[in-house]
Amino acid sequence: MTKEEIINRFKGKFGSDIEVVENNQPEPYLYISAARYQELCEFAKNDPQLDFDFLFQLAGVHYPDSRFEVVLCLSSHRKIHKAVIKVKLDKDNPATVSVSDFWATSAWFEREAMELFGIKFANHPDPRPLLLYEDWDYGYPMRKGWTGPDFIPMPEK
Amino acid sequence: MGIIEKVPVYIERVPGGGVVTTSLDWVLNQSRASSLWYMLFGLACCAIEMMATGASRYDFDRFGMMFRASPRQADLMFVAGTVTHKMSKRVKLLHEQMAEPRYVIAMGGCACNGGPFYYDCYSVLKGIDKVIPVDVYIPGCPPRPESLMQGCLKLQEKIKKEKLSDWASDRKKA
Amino acid sequence: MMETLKEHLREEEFLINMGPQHPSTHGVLRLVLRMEGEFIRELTPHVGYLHRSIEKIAENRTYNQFMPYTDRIDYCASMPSNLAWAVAVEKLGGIEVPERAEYLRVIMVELNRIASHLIWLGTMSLDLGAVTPFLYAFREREWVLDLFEMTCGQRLTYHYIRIGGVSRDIPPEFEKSCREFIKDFRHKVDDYEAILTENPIFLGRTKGIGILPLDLAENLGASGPTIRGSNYAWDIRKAEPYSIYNRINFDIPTGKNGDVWDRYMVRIQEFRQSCRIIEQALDGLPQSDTVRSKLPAVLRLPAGEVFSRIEAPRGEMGYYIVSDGEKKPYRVKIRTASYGNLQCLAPMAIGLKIADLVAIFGSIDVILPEVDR
Repeated sequence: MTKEEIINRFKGKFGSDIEVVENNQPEPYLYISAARYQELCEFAKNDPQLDFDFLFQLAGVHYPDSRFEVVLCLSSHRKIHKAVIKVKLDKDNPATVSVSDFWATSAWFEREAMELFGIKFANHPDPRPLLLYEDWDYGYPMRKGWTGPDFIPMPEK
Repeated sequence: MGIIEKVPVYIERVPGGGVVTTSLDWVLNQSRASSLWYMLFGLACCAIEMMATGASRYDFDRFGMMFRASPRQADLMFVAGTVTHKMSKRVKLLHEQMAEPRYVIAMGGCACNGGPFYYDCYSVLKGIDKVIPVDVYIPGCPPRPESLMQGCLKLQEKIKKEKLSDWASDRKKA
Repeated sequence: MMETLKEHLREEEFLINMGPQHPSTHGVLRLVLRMEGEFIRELTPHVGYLHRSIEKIAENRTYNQFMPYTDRIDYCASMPSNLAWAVAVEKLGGIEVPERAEYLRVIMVELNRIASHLIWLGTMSLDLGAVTPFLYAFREREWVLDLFEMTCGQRLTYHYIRIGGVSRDIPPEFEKSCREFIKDFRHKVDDYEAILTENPIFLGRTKGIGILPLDLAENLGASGPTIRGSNYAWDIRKAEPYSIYNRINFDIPTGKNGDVWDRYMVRIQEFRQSCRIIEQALDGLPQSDTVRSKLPAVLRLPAGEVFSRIEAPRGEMGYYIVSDGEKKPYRVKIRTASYGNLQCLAPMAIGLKIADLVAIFGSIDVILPEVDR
């Protein structure tokens, strides 16, 4: 399916909860409201025309002035198309739902986002830290403006 | 270790006893230097160069060095690669499991002082000598096999200058 | 009598730690196994022992300065790692690459695919107890490293592919040496097959072990030879061609059952396919002087985002970059092949013995810095 067809298919089901990001990339970039995030993931996976069966990655992004974002990069093995779904979360208390029911691989991506950004994922099957060491209690390192022990920023020339 | 500490002292007091201790030193140092068994402890990129140095073209076996999987059977530890804070506790544990006399070579920029991960990095230990004592530092990212072999030869030179009393007392090596 | 014996023997499950330092874990991976006798009941991987916070570093380096760090993400296949970053940045910035540079990139990436699979072959056979293929594989690999050293001066982390092209042209003696290598290498692959493929010990340890069903593989994020072994011909070079792969003829090898032997055969066939690709690229190499397009010294990309991926030797590797128009990226998310492949280990190994676990782990070819970044 082309970029336009994918956007229209999502808009047909979700209407005004979808916001399209205008750019000249070949795949669609869509914002979905946080309330309908889980519904959209289920639709993307199970709809026979979209058939997004492969979650390529799930990333957290921090915009300190306004929000956190969770970005899903989806692709389809059989239809060979891609899409990027983004959801905006609250700046002070970012929390959303885990999508590991639909794509089991998202479990590790969400564990990483939990410990590095502090985004909470409800219903996660295994919310242990993945990468940081066991006694880490210095905050969430990937947030903008974080400093901690043993963090030496590059000196400006 | 009480008797070993006293033996060189008493032998040297006997006239002509210095010959015995220096010959014993020479024999022990030769045997230690010519047959260093290293522990496979590759962490990151430098591990591949270490494996390549032990493989077909650059052969480690001609120096008498062969790899052992367990620290209890090894006397040399190549710390090859970046050491993170999570791993540093385990590195210290492995170092303590090696039997004395034991040597450590810090291979590569990351093990010497953090390497390219010195700035802007919250999880990397900036140099392995913060947790264990190091004998030879080999810079490079990754060092060529020839550099690695030169580092081993330097370690052999260092071993050949040792004395019997070094390992016996609580002075030099802990 | 067995029943009375069982009543009196105390059978318990116990936990074994295949710790961060282990000759078969190919890096610093810790596996905690709950065992019942010799059989595995539960497997939990603990990663993070090589977490070098490369994504945080990326926010403080310019796009060109970040390129050497991509080498260290997957050091066995350093050229494809460079290529993934270059392709992502060029897609966001709309940067054109000269044609000679595209052909050189493909040649280097396929040579590096051969080198990476040689490391896999050597270490997997070493784990299973065969030492000879290890020495043979590293002997071949030295020739490939000679070719790379002739071109860019480095043996392991090349930093050859740059944004906008490659860093320098190949020397005149490269083409002759490369063609000789390809001709000789085809016979060497036959040698490796003669040692391993029909060997009864190898077959006993790998046939029927570690079967990965296709729907589980897709759900868990497997890619590359791991999913091709489960009888699905998925390759980014054919599905979403980047660079000049749409002009080159090659096949995608697949396995039938998804066991360890199938994944081994997929990689052996990939040796031969890579040789085909390199020959076609050398034949079609255009004569030109430019190998890098003219770009400003400090590159600024337009504000926006990009998501791109390539086929690295272990699977799909891709980047998601957010740029805000400055000279340093705002957010870089790296997705590597081993991240998905390692999640497939637990379902494959349950119910098997530890020796089978070693064979399965060798066949999915995980590199830990890819998982930890």
